[in-house]
Amino acid sequence: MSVDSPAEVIPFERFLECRERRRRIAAATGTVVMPASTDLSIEPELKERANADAADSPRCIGNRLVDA
Amino acid sequence: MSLRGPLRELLAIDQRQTLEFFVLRLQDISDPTVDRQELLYNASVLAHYAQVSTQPDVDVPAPRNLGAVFDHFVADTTLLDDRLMMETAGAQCLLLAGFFEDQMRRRHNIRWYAELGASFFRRAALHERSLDKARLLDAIARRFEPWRRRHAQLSRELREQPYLLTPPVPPEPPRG
Repeated sequence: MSVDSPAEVIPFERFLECRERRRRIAAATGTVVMPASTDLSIEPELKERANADAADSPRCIGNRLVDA
Repeated sequence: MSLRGPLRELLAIDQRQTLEFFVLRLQDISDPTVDRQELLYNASVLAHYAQVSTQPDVDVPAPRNLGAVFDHFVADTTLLDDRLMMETAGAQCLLLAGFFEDQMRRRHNIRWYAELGASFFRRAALHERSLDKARLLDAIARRFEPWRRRHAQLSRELREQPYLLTPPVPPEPPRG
């Protein structure tokens, strides 16, 4: 059994909303939160815009955004 | 702090990895004939709450205990006709009366909350517009108790796992 066929999967609705919310946060803050990779050679998943060091920019631990 | 190497591997888990983790674990403890849709749905409930804080955020927070579920979804009768809130209430009962059964059973009547959870899923199915999802929610309601038990079993196995010793594999006998 795999989760490769999303069309067949009817998940808990809030599970989907959680992903959508992260996307909205990313769009609002300009911070792209990439899914973590299991390949350790890949670069960090957080790509920040030029002014991301501003005080109000969110930090990212793993794929979770937290307040600075 | 930059998260690289093994530390990052431990901390950085995405939604899909979390879902796959619970799909595989639930599969391990379920009968091969178990309904696939129900299994995936249950895995998504666990995957969701593995990633949601108990602190109020922009989303409905993960409940701390079954008393919180009662206060939120039973005492407040305005939510009874809300499809998503009823599904959320059912999922929270499944999580706390199932996965966290051992932590909840001293203070709460697990059987009562299991019946409550099934009734939440039943109400969610009644208000659901998608026929496929309504069928699924109704099936979860009917088989709430076996799923709750699987959640509880999985939780115990995950807690015991770090203490289990893996016997060393004996070396293969020399050929010839």
